[in-house]
Amino acid sequence: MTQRKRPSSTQSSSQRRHTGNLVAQDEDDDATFTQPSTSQVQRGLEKLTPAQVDQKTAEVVQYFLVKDQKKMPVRRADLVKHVVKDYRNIYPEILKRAARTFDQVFGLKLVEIDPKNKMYILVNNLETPDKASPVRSPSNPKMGLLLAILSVIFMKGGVVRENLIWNTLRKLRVDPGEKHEEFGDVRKMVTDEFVRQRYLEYVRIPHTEPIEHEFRWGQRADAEVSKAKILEFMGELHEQDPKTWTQQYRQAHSLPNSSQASTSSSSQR
Amino acid sequence: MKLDLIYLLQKDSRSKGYQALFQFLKEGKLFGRILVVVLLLLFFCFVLGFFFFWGGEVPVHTSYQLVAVMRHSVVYQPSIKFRRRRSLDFHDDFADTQLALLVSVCLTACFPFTKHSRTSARVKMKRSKGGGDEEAPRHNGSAGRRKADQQQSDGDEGGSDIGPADLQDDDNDQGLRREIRSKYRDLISSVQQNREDMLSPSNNKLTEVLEEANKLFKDVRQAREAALDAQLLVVATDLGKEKASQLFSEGTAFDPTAFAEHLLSFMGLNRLEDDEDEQQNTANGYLPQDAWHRLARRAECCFRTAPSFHYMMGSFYAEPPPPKQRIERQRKAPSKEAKRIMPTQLKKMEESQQEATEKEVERILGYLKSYYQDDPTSPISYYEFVIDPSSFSRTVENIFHTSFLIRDGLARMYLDEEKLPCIAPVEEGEVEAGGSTSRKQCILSISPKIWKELIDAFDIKDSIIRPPNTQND
Repeated sequence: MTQRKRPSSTQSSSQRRHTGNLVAQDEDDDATFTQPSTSQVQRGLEKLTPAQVDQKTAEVVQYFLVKDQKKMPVRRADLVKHVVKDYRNIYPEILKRAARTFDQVFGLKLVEIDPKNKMYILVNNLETPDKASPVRSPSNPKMGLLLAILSVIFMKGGVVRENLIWNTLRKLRVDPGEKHEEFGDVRKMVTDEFVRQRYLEYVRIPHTEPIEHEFRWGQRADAEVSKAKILEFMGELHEQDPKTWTQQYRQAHSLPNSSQASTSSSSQR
Repeated sequence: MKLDLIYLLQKDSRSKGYQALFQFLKEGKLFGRILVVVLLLLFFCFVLGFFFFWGGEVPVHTSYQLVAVMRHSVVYQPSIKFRRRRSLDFHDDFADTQLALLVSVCLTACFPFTKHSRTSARVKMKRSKGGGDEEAPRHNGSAGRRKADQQQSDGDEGGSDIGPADLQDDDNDQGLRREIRSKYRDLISSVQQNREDMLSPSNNKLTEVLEEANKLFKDVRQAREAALDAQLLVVATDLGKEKASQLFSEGTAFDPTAFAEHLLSFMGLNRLEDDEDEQQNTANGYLPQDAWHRLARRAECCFRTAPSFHYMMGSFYAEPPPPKQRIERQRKAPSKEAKRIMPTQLKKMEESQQEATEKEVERILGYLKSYYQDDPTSPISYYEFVIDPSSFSRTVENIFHTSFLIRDGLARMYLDEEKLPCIAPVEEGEVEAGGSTSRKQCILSISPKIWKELIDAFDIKDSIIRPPNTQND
């Protein structure tokens, strides 16, 4: 692969963003970026050699992989500004090829979680194992906390006041007011980090005094987390049949899993 | 009726001076009010007097100017105008007295204005105090309306500050309104604070609150109280919506507390056995270190997260291999040269250096075996075997060489009944070469003092291991 020429520059450009801060990007970039039409794309492709296009595709793939380490969604503006640059006239083609590479090589799916702001995430396309995977990779305890929060939100109908979450966490020996030995500043993690990773949504409830917020499932959670599996987990914990929670069961099984992640629009952009 | 008239007049009058005057008339001290009325009458008499005494030649603008004094609160200096009209001499004195009285009347007419400025200061203070309480539960819709009402009603309240409550109906109205407002505020705070209580489907507290609000609303006359009522309704409907959403979920309800308990058990909480008190949740057990990791691993099945990109072998970290190689090469270089100078002799020396140890080890093995075969049943004391009573250095060498035997599995060391170390050779088929038996290691240390003590203790006369014939320099 001819990737060795450029990896240093893509790494450095992606590592600048690697800190996880969503610095306010030049929105001008995205605003002025108009989706090129297919004829423009065709013309652009004719001018370039296939090797160049492949190279660009590979760079995009690498950018995504590194950005995905922190699980922050990738904006189209960033992608165009830092990686695609001069090739923006064939941007749709590049993205299509990158999505195909992800699917065929890595078994990942490129999903557009926000059609308005054009944000993308990577989701595992392979089947989730039924029990813990045999590979002993170090697990991230934050995922455990996230699972607890998402389960509560789901079982309570999709929207939950923040006080309920804080109370539940306190019962789990995680106090948002104190510094937890494993998670650190719990409140910041839940309301800031998980929200930026799009696992949760933290919106203000109008007309409340003092100000209160509520939690919902975020876009990434909708794409990544299987409600049926959560219900199964609930059944295990409470030693009940998942069907006893009829409403949640209906909700979990009515939508087929593929439509939970918006596939239709993802691969085309 | 009287009140309403004055009230209407008050409302219509644009000038603050008039307002203040009317207030004073309504609520001021009796003496003050009489004084003002008398002065006003005098004033009007003088105005009329001008018409009479001057035979109707009073210029119209003069009387207007006199009235303008009251309107614009400017002390008019009438002297200039009057002095001009000195056509009739006998009027001079009369004019002067008139002038003086006129000035005094004007000054007293200004009196309500100064009173008004004092009143306005008091009104401002009261407004700032009263406004502070009511600012707190301010909401979007009611704010604008509230402010307009406040100005008017604060005008009312400012008026009440001036004098004692002589107009009792108005005050009762004030008091009643205050009472209504405070009741509304109590209702609002009760709804906000007892939220959890009101949400529980077992009671009807929310309905009771609404019924009370209904009762209060019957007495509401002004927009201010109505705004509070609207606020209460907003809060109550919010609560109602939440209560309805509770009823909405059919099937088994989900209890976060029970969920938390189950989750803790899943994470491996070790509950303390003697403490079954469920109220005391604080340290009711102890979570193991990997509690959250356990949950995270279970979570991996529910999540379809893309695995994060990381290098398989990790990142490289710099170690200093080059310096080591250089050192070895430097050492090797002179020895190679030495080899070239004296090839044949050096070869022999090297051989003896490398293989001397092996030869020694084999020799010692021979001694051990022969000694063992002499008497297979009696154990050979380790110390007796290795110690050379005549030379400490040779003792150390013997220990060194026997350690090779043990390392290679050709001999074994064990403790006898008296906990003294013994050594014995190992038969060929006893132990496999791979060493599946547990290999133990230990470090022996010996000093000349210990060596001498051992010699005395074990009464060692001569060494079992003969010293080697060839001496190594």
